[in-house]
Amino acid sequence: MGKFIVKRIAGGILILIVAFTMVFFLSRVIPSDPALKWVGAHATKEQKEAAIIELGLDKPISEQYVDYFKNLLKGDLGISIVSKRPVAVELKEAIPNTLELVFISVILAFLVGMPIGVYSANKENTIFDHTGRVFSVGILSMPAFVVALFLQMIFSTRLGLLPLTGQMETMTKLMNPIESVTGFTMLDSIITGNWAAFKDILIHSVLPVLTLMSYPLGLTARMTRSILLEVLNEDYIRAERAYGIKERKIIWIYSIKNVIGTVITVLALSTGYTLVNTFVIESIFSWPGVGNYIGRSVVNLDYPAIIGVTLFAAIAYVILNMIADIIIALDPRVRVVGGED
Amino acid sequence: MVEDKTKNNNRMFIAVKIKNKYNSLKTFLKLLFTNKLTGFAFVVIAALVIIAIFAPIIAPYPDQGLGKVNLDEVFQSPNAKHIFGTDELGRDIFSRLVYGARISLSISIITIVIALIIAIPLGLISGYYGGVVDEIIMRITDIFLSFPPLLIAIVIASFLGPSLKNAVIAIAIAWWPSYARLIRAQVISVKQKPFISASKCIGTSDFKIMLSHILPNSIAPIIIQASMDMGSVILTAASLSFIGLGAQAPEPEWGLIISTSRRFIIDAWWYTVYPGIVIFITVLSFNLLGDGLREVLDPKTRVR
Amino acid sequence: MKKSIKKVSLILMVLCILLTLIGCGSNNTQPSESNEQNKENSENKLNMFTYVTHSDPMVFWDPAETWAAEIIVMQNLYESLVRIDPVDDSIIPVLATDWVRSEDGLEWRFTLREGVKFHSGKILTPDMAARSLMRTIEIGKGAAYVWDGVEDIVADGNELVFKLSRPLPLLQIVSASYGAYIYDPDIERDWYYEANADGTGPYKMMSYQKDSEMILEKHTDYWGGWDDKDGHFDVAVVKTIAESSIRRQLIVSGEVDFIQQLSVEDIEAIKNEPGISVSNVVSFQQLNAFLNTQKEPLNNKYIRQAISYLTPYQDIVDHVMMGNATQARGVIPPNLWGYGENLLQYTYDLDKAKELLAKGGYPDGGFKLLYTYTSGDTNLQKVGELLKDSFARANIDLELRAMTTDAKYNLTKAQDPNERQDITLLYWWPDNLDPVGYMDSQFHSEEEVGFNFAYYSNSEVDRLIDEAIELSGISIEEASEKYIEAQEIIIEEAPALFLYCENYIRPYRSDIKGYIDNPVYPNVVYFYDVYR
Repeated sequence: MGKFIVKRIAGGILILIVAFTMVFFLSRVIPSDPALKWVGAHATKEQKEAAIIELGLDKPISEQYVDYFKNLLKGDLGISIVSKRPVAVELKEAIPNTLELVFISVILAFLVGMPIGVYSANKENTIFDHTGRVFSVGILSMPAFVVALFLQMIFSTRLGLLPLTGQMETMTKLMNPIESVTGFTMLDSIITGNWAAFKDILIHSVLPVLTLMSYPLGLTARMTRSILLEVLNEDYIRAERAYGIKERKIIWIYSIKNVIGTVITVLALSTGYTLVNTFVIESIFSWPGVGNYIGRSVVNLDYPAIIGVTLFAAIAYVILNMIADIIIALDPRVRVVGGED
Repeated sequence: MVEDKTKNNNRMFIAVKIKNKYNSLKTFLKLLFTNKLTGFAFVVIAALVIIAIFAPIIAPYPDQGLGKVNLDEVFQSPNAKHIFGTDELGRDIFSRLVYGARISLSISIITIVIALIIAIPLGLISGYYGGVVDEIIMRITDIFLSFPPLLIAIVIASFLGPSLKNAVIAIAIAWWPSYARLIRAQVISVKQKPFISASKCIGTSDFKIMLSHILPNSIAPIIIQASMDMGSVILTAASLSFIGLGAQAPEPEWGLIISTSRRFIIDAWWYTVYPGIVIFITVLSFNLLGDGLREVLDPKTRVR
Repeated sequence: MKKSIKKVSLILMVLCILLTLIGCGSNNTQPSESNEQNKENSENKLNMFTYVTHSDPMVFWDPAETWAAEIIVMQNLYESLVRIDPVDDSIIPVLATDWVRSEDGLEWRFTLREGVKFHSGKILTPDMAARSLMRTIEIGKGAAYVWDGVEDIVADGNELVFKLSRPLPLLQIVSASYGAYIYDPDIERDWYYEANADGTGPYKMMSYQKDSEMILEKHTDYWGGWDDKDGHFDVAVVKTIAESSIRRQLIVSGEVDFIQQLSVEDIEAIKNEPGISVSNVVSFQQLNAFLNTQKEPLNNKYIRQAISYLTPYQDIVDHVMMGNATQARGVIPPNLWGYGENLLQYTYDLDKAKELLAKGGYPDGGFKLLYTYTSGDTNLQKVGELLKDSFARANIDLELRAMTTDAKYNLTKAQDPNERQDITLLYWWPDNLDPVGYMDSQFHSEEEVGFNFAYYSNSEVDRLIDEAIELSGISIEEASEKYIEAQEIIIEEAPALFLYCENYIRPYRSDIKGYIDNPVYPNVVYFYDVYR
């Protein structure tokens, strides 16, 4: 197992390098004029030429690449063309907020989606099964913004139970400022025992989490159901049934471990989708996360920012897929070939 | 890794039996329709296709469906004249959705088919052979997956030029890696099954094993995922319109309609809700059909 | 089994209730109790003003470079020598208390206010003021071009002396909305970009979170003082809320005090809600659609005139702006000098358009035009859809293409004019109270494409604009005449469709007092002037 992980990490670093290289060159061939953006449209020719030198765009692209790579190793991701602030600083502010949201959503989706799927499979073709099916397809086919806006209309505007947008009230921020320990606001508020702030963030995160988890939830439920149906028809399960082992035990002990592998693969992939999805959701809920940042940097062709977010996305994928692969490697069907009993 | 010989033989027997069973198209269709839900889904999809083909006849206001404005009747709530209401320029939303079926159905089906054509062979090979081939293919998917999809789209837009065709290519390119990974994961667990080893023992070629034994046994999750993705493709296509790559206003593409409606969601609920329902029904039907297909294709769930 | 049916019916019931709630909730949105409570709590603690904008305003942090949406914050953090009030054309003294102009108009002296303290505690000296403006000019970024013609700025006692190479309307320049701030010239540029600011304005930076909110607190040592300012705000927050419908719900519920921009449809829907006031003023913001004069078929004057007659101006004003705009007359908007009230306005006239098409060699239309606009700007999308519909009546096909700002801008500058768009749009508003930008940037011929998206080049127009610029420091009346003369030619040659000049409409809570929308400083709320 140790060797496997080392191999995967080495592979991961390779992917990062290739992805970085590709993004670097792709972002340079897209027609765009960073120097002009840097100085503004009214600038004179001389100012623009100065900007080209300032940004190092006069050097041959191979040299720019080497320079960039060197800085990267020092943790310097360059300066955003649009906001003119260091990309590393901006990402450091944004990433934790998104990760908190995404992790909570995906874990909840898994914890809620699995039982729904199992229950559906168990009660195949009953009304529960059909409702679950329609519901999960429903939330999968709805655009995230529709889900978000309707949730807001119900829980904030109509019932007044939850706040409409934001990560926390400005007043809470002023009265109970969170000390930064890890950079993860929610975690920090717990560590420092700042319960007023924690409660506020928690309340604010309910709606974004509900919206974000809808996709992985629907997917988990559907996947679990269909794979479990398959597994329940395997010979060895039938044999167990024939031996008189209780159905509940069959499902939860013998079958579920066969399901988890694929479900986790799907979930790992959908975490990627969820990260991308945060683009829309963060903007609707005014959540200060990286989703907003990705969208804006790509639309503005802000290439240092694009490279920064791509590296982040690449790292996230590498880790997620590594987890998925390790779990597949642990899958009983892979390990103990065909000989369950 | 000890394998039970009798079990092997048994499996092999089942595999052969299955192959004979769905050889003919007739049996296949018959099996498909045994499930009422699948039949229903099939009818809905057929209806959608017919609507798309005969849009000019079905749409009550064909010119508005294509974008002609009707400024005297902006934001009419659903009524006898406009059953789904009208939009911000007075156009009949029902007519627009009818015309939109043409664009949206073709975008989503073609995109997913392209993605599957790339993903299935790569996923099969990767999972079946393992080793270096697997490593290379999976690293390629990793690289694609780690790119922001919007960036892929922008790169394609700036090289191939903006058009609907290129939007489809862009989405398919962003989409296939996750299918490939999904198939691979399934293939890895299937290939360890005794009946596969049995086929190998009797000298069946790798190609044949992959195609007739592994593929049918590992297609289930991909069918579910693909049928669920129909909706996501429509919505992604709409986000590409934003960078000038996909359908452009006033084309009645569903995703574009629902994105435009977002601004009016509080006062004109019908503008969001009806396109939403249409996308939902379409995705649901494809999903039910996908489930039906899976049951027929997957030997285990069928032989009960 | 029975149990599961119970569960299912429970789920269905909950769903039904939720749907009903959406149904009734959609029309009358009432302030919810929790929001009221929040507000009450806040009033007990700090008096806070909340300004809502649609995208993070901060682009440039260095007051020398500022030239974008950050004006809404910058105008509260930093100050210039004077400000302009366009309503009665008066000058408001800010950091300058008095000024004189020399006979020949080549030297101006401004007396600097005394006892002005920066947020850092430093005292503002005339030397610092002079050096800060010179720093802006030397850096030369952003709006620094407004200082063209200023040779030198030096401190003399408690006075600032401006030495000019030609007569200039200097009061308009030192009051410019961008590029005229006085700041501490000894601060390094990098410091600003760490989200810092140090000005003399009534509010100072407290915290900044990108894409979320920016908190300003009052500068206790502000020269204007806080003694008689009961009900004024301790804290001002600038929040970024991207979604228009959310901004609308926030102002209706009373959670925020001021909205910079809301769609006209949303404003129509909420303007009669209790507790909401709407400020509606004529602005200088004008929308023009530029026709590519270098490309078939719009290189033909008659075709451009035909297109001008095919544009449904009234429908655009009524349906895009819901009447909150007026059809533009020429290049310069009303209320700004240089506006010609007798200039020709094109109106929709299909017969005339067809006549002109025939004259231009396209009697049956039959050509295709590409219309590019910024994605996400639904107003421009609507304009495009209306133009498409209208052009179709003369058998002209208009293709709409939404593009990112960057891509759109790149296309306008493609090497070959034939690869560029046929029609693209631009909003224009002044950097100071001078029409020069409207004329010089949009219609003066250019070597390299800047903002002249019609690629229009007419030596007579160029001459008139240059003369007007020269005259503007001496006699506004004479300069104005030159501009009107130039506009006559431009209108006749129709290199652009002059669509509309819009009103700024801003919803705010009725309990906010002291707000005046000054269109010279677009979108700015002077937090020091408002109170509850």
